[in-house]
Amino acid sequence: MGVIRVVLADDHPIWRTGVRTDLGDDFDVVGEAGDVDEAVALVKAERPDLVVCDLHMPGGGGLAVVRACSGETRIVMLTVSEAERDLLDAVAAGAVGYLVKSTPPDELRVALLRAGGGEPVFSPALAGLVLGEFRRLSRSSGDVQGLTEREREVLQLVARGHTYKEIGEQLFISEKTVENHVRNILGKLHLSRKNELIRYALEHGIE
Amino acid sequence: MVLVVDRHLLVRPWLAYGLVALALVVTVVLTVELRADAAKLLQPPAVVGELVVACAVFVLGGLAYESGGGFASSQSLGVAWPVASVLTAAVAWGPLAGLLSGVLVGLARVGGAVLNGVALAFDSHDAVALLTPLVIFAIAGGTLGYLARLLRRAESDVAAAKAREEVARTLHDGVLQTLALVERRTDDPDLARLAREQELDLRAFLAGPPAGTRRGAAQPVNGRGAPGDLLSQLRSAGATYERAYGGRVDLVLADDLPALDPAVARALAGAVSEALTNAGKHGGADRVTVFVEPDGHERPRRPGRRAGHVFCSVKDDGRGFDPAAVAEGMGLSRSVRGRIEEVGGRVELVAREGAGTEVRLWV
Repeated sequence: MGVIRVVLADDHPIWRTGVRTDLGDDFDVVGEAGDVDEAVALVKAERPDLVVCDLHMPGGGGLAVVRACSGETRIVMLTVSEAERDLLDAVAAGAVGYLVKSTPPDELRVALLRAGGGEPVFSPALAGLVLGEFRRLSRSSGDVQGLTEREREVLQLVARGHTYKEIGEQLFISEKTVENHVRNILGKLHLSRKNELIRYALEHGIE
Repeated sequence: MVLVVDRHLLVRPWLAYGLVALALVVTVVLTVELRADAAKLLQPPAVVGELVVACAVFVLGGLAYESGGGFASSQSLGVAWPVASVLTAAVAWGPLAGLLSGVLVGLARVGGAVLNGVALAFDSHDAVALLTPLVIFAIAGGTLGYLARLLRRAESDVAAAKAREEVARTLHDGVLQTLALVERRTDDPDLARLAREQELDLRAFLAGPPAGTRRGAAQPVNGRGAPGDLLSQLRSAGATYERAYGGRVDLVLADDLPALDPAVARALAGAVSEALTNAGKHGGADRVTVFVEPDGHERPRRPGRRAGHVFCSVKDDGRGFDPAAVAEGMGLSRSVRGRIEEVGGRVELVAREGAGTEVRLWV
């Protein structure tokens, strides 16, 4: 595929400059945004392939950007801190994954290339969060569509630090299949969150 | 509002009804005002007005009753209503104002009694009966004023703490950003390591390590095995590794880990630390992931084990080794296996030449 058109959204200009330098020739930064409104406007105007968005930003944070734009582009969250619940919310709302800001430049570039190609960016920490979320869901309510044994296996292997390739080799499946499992897991997470919201609304009489 | 009126004792019913009507009107006005703008009720006009009406009810009440009708000890127009004005003054202006208002309203009641023709001799029954409410009013006013002040202070303390926390969060965020940037952009490995260490320190501080544990120390844990203890021990092991080998450790800990026996947590952290050392020393690993979750699916059932089981893995991207060629992985087995089996756990070692190593632990 050609050059990936990307929008950088972060309230720290110095950080945007840093990422821009790291991205190299495979990416074309078509715009930078310092808050949620700017980011959403940029996405609507530029239709980028990828948005690299800080989780904490003025105007509602990365979650607001995901809610507004996840249907139109792929969004990768960048955070300084791992394992936050609002991160899970962002991913459940449609972000394709997240990266910690201390990720080394090479790794960042590779991960964003994959995200630009439509692959979920599923770090071990995020996999751990999602595992925990499904444990919580299966405890709290019976009617949530849980993970299959295979999906849980894949998710746990990601959380343990295995690459898709390694997982494929261990489970005797192709890397592509591993990727599909991960996508299905994200889909289920998305659904379960939605169901939870609906159930909450019904229980509390909100129309 | 409590009104006790015995009609047979009234000599000036019109006055009594008038006072009741006045109290009612004031009550309605204040209630309406309360719904519209509660803060207005604590403004001087409202408070003074309430006090004046309260005194008026007491004083004029003395005229409404039949003289000597036991006014002092039993009947008066309104008991609770005037007290409310004292409480309002206390909330609005503090303990001293509350106390003084209490005395004032109490005196108004005495005034009413005098108008009613009650003789005020100090040893009389009536004097005691009149003094008691005065003291009670004063105490009620003073106490409530004091409580209100405490409450208000606590409230503003909480608000200030919240504001500070918000600022701290923003600051920490900025510092973490900067450190991450330094780490990534510098060519000087020492500077990068320093930034990384500072970042880890700040993170550890933000996560709030439990009392009694200190990063880098030999982990004398005196907690009761809360998951936080394990977390801080693992974090310390990871930081030690990063300092010694320059690689990177990702900690992936479930947030619903069961509480572990302190000895088990110590053994686990020790084993992880050993596994990390091996990854750095023999594997030349760049990246190690330490994963811990409640032990559900992969539990090797063993009889006689206590509650609170976890599964833990330490996976590196190093050279790995051929398990067939290297008997039990270079001493790893003794140091790791020893610790884990001592607390009734189980160890598995998975390695392949050129594909990293994974140590799996169940405790």
